Amino acid sequence: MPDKSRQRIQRDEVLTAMGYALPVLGGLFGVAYVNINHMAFINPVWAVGGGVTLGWIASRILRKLLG
Amino acid sequence: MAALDQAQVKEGVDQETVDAVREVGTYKYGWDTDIEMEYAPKGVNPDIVRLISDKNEEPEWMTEWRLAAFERWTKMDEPTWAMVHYPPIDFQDQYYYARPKSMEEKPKSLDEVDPKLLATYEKLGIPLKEQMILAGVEGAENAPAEGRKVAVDAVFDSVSVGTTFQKELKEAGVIFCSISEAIKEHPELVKKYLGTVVPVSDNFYATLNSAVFSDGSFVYIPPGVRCPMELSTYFRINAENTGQFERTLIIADKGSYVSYLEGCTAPQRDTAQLHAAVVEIIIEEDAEVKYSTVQNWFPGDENGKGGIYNFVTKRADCRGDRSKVMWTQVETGSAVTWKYPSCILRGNESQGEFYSIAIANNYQQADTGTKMVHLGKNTKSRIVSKGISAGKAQNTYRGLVSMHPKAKDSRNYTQCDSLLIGDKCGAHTVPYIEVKNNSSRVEHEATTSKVDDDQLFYCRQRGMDEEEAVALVVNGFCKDVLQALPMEFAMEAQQLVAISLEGSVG
Repeated sequence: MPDKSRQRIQRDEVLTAMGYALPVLGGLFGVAYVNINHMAFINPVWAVGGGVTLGWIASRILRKLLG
Repeated sequence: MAALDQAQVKEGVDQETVDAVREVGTYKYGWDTDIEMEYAPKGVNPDIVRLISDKNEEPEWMTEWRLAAFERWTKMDEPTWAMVHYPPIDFQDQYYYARPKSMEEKPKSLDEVDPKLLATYEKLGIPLKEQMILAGVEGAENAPAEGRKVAVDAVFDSVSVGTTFQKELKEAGVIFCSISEAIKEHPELVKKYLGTVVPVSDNFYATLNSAVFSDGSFVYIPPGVRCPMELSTYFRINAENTGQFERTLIIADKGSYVSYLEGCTAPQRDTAQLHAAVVEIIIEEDAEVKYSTVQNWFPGDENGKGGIYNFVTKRADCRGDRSKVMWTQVETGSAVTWKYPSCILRGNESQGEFYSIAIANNYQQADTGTKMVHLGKNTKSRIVSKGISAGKAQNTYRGLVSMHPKAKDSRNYTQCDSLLIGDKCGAHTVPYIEVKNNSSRVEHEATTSKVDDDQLFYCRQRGMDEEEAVALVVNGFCKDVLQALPMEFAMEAQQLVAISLEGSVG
C-alpha cells in the first residue's frame, strides 16, 4: 500500500510539472519556428503565444488521460 | 609594403617567409599568366560583333541578335545616376575578345594542354582533378572525385576553358555547359529564353553585353530534378586592356532545384579594366534557385590606381507559382561596382531573398542593391544588406521594392545596415518603395554605425591586435549574410572580409 501511494504521488508530481513544462517548451518551439521559417513572416508574439497555448492544451490532455 | 621592400632581410630567414610576409595585405590573385593570346582588333563595331560571333561558330540568328543589340547600344548614353565617379571609359580603346592561342582547338590529352594554363589553375587553388578537366582534357571526368562535388565552368578572358562533371550531370538530365556550346547544341532553349529576363535594351551595359558577350555559362534543370551537385563558374581576367563580357543563363524548370556559385579574380594592373556581365535566371512553378557570388576582382591599389569597373545586370524571373530565388552576394573587390541583382515575383506565392555584403576600402566605390518587383498574389521578399566602408571608400545601397496593384497580400522586409571604419569614408542609402495596393505590407529598417571603441578595447584586452579585432566585429556584423552562403563559400568569404579590411585601421 505505501508503495502504491508513493507511486501515485510521484505521478502527480510529474503531471503537475508537465503542466508548467509543456507550455514553456511550446513557447520555445514557437520561437524556433519563427527563426527557421523567416519567409513565413509570422509575428513572433503570435508564435510564442500559440506555442504556449498548444503546450498548455497538450498538458491538460495528458493529465486527463494519465490522471 | 614599400617599407618592407626596403628593409634588409636578416641572415637565416628563407625566401618563403619573406614572400609570405610580403603577401600579407596584398591582393592574393594579382599575378598574371604569361600566355600567348589571340586578340580581336581594338574597339567595338559591327565587324567586331561579327568576328566574335564567327569565333564562337554561332548560327545566323545569333549574329543578327548581336547586331541588333549593337545598333541599340550606339544610340544609348552611359548612365550617370549612380553614386560612382570614374574617368570616362574609352570603349574604342580596348579589346573585346581575347583567348589563349592554345584554346584554338580543344586539347585531347594533358600533354597537349598549355602548361602555363595548368599552372594558372594550380595557383588559383583549383584541385588537381578539376585542373585536368578545366584544362579541357577529354576523359578526365572519369577519374574518381574526392569529397563534395562541385561542377565548375572556368571562363578565362573571353573563352570557357572547360566544364567539369558534364557526363554525371547529363545522367540526371541537367545541362551545364558554356553558353557558346549551348547556342550550338541547344539552340531551341537559348532562343526561347535568352533576353527574356534582361531585354537587349535594358540598360547601357546590358546592351553592350548583348552585342559582344563572348562566353559564359548555361544551365538547364529539367522538371522535378534536384541538381545532384553544386554548380559554379570561375571568371578570370588575364589579358591586359581587355574587357570581359560574359553571359549566364539559368533555367530551372517545374519543381527543380539548383545551387549556383560564382567566383572571380583578376591581375593587379595600373589601368582599369571593364567587366560587364549579364545573368538571367528563369524559375518555373515550384522550382528553387540559390545564386551565390564571392566577387574578388582587383580593387585597385591603396591610391585608387587600376582595378576593375564592374557593371553587372543580374535578374531572376520567378515565372511559376511558389517559385523561389535567393541571391547571396559578397562584394569585396573591383574599383567601381554597379550591381543590382533583382527578383521579378510574377508567380503567385513566389519568394525572393537577397543577402548582400558590400565592402569598400581605400578608394573603392560601390553602388549596389536590389529590386524586388511583386506582381503575383501573396508574394514575399526579404532584403538583408550590409555595407562596410573603410579608408576613403564610398558605399551606396540602392533598392527598389515595388508592389503592383495585383500583388495582393504581399510582404517585404528590408534590413539595410552600414558600418563605417574611419572618418573619411561614406555610406549612403537610397531606398525606393512603391506600393499600389492596400493589402500589402512593406517594412524597412536601416542603421548606420561605426566600429565601437568599447568593442575594440574589449577585444584588444584579450590579446587581439587592432586588425583582428576589427575583423571580428565586422564578421559579427555580416553574420546574417555569411550564414546564407554555402559552407565552402562562407569560410572563404569570412577570410576575404578580414583581408579586404587590412590596413583600414590605425
